[in-house]
Amino acid sequence: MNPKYEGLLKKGVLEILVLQFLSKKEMYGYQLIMELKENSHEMFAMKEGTLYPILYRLEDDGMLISEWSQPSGKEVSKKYYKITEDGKRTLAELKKLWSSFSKEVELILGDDNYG
Amino acid sequence: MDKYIKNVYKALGCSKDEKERIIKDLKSDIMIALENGEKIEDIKIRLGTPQEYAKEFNDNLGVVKKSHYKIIIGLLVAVILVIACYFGYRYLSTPKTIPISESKIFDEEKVMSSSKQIIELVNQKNYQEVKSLCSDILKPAFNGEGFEDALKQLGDLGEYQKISEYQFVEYKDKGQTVAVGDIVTLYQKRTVIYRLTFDKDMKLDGIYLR
Repeated sequence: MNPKYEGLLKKGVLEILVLQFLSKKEMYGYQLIMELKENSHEMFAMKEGTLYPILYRLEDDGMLISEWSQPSGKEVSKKYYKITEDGKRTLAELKKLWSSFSKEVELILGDDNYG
Repeated sequence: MDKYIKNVYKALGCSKDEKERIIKDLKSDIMIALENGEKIEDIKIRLGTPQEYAKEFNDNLGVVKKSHYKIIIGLLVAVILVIACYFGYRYLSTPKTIPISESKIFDEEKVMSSSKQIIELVNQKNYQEVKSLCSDILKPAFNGEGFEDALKQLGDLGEYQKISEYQFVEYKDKGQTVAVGDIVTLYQKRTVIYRLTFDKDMKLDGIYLR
């Protein structure tokens, strides 16, 4: 598989995935990377350099807010990302779009079997 | 690990604010990884080299890497220099002409009085005197007999009458500035046009009759 095309195809859904994960619970970057990796059979194993720019964009667009945790004891302070109301609305819209989008793509790609 | 962080910072091509945001997250991630029991060496392997780590950010933030940026600036400067050289060369190599009245080097009256003086000397056939007014370049080439022959080829002129019109310009070419002009003179039997050239010292640099 050409890694360039693979990357381009995956890139389009990263925002939806990040929003979906954060709609369940607030998470910090490192945690998100780990969860994405585990929950996608490594299909969406992301590097920091890929995930963080997405988080920055979503935060700058008001879809997420971030907050540094107040560490207790020896714990390290972590930056937690939380979905906003705006983010939830956008996620719902994107999910709807994804549903019709994937159906249409399936239809076109599935044409091979009948053609 | 400090060196690793420093190198990431250096390799990032985004704004200062953005860099600090990335570095803050990187530091936090390293601390969390250490807290989870990961070893420094393993963290480094997982994150990749500082350059790889930064490149991923640069690509996804849509920034042009500094080194590319420098090459582009360098190329632009080179292109501008070539264009400047071309126009500079054109400027220097293209002859420039301005009316003698606007010249800062030549005085119109002086040019005219010198021209009159030469025409009178030619009419008197006093070529020795003409030669004494020549520039060092023209002097060796100028000789009375040759000039007399050239004059004869114009035919019988008849008696000199007057200057009917004239036009002088300052002419700049390849670093040399001269005053050059045509003086239309009336003789009894025909019109003769003197083309005279003077150098900056008002020495005669060229004489041509037709």
